[in-house]
Amino acid sequence: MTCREFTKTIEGRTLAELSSAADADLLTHQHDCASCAALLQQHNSLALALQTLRGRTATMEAPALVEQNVLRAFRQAPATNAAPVFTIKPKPAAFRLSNFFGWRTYAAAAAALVIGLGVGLWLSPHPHKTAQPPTARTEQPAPASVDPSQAQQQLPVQATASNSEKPNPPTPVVGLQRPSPAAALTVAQNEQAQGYTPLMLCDPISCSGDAEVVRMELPATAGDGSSSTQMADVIVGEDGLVRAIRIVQQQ
Amino acid sequence: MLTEPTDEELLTLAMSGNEDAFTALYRRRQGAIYRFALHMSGSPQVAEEVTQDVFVFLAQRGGDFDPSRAPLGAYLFGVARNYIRRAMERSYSDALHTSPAEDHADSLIADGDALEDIARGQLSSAIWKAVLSLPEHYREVVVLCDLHESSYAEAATAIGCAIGTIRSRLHRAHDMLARKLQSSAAVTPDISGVAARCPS
Repeated sequence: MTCREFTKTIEGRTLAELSSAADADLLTHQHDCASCAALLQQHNSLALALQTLRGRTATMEAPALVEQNVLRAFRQAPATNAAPVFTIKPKPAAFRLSNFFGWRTYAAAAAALVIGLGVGLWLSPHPHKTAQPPTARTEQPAPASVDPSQAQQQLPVQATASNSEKPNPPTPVVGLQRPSPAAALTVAQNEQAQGYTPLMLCDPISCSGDAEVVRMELPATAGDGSSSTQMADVIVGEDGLVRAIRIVQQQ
Repeated sequence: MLTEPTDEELLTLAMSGNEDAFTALYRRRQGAIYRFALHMSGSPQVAEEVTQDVFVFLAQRGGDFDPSRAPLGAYLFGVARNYIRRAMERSYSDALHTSPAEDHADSLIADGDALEDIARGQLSSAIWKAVLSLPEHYREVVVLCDLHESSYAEAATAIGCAIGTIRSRLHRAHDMLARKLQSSAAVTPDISGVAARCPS
């Protein structure tokens, strides 16, 4: 046994955990090593001291007065509602922080949530107005061959009504639509059928955006300096370009 | 053949209002609790107070005891440990580091008449003072394992830590106690020459 092993093992002797063989090894080693013998003596003294203290206090008990007090408490116990003892454990830091802020914390969190929801709803895309039946041109398919006067009757109600009162240039937007790219050619054909004159050659993909029908007042003739005007329905794409135009017959 | 009822059986009877069962339980366990508090605090006053508080707590809250978690003995040591800590926080100087503790330790010397008894009393006084000077988490493992002969598992249950922690704390506490006794040449003159551990 080396001195290092002796040092590691000697604690087990104090705790009376060593086997008889290990105990014998310790005793053999301490005969050859003075420092280990001193260490063993130190541990033996400690064990003896602890044993002596244990023996001299083994018979100590609480006074009889304590028993009387305890039994008195036991008799009163069913009628009492004592608080739990283990209340000295500190509360978690998060709990103490929440107590520090109190209800203001929750009020601030609720306000932030409401504001966040409001901003989110405000920034979210608005539903299209195609839900309004009178203004959706795609919901008004015209036959391939149609009389211009009949096509005029198929205009949105609001547009014809404003036209019948007085020619106020330009009238507000009366309809929006977002046709699919595949239906763009069909839309152009429908516009022709409704009496509109296409002003540009629309690519089916680039012309697939929203379009508006705007009634506006246009010069009757260009370049002659006259001030006569003519009402017209103009289909304007969302790119700002005029797709088609139709002259409105004034009554 | 009649067998003694266990602690848990006595507590069950006591909680149903049987005063005899509670008295039997008190008389069986009060000595260990009193000595534990006395060894921890060094003060008979604190030991009496803690013993009374522990059993009053048991009388009032004994229904909360869960036998599947720990034996009643370890449970009572755990309750006593909390009361001792509270008492020592409340009157730290009175309970630990002033004359009552050391006076009581010194009173062990005067118990015997023979010379050997006096020597043993001096040794007991020296070791007790050394135990009282240990930090609390070392002191409680020495008191439980060395002075009360509790197993590591029982001490671990009472303190609420792992068995390995008990072992390491006990090892460290023994080193500290050995050094304290070594410095006390009057009590342990035969070990005063130990200067250092083995170099190897």
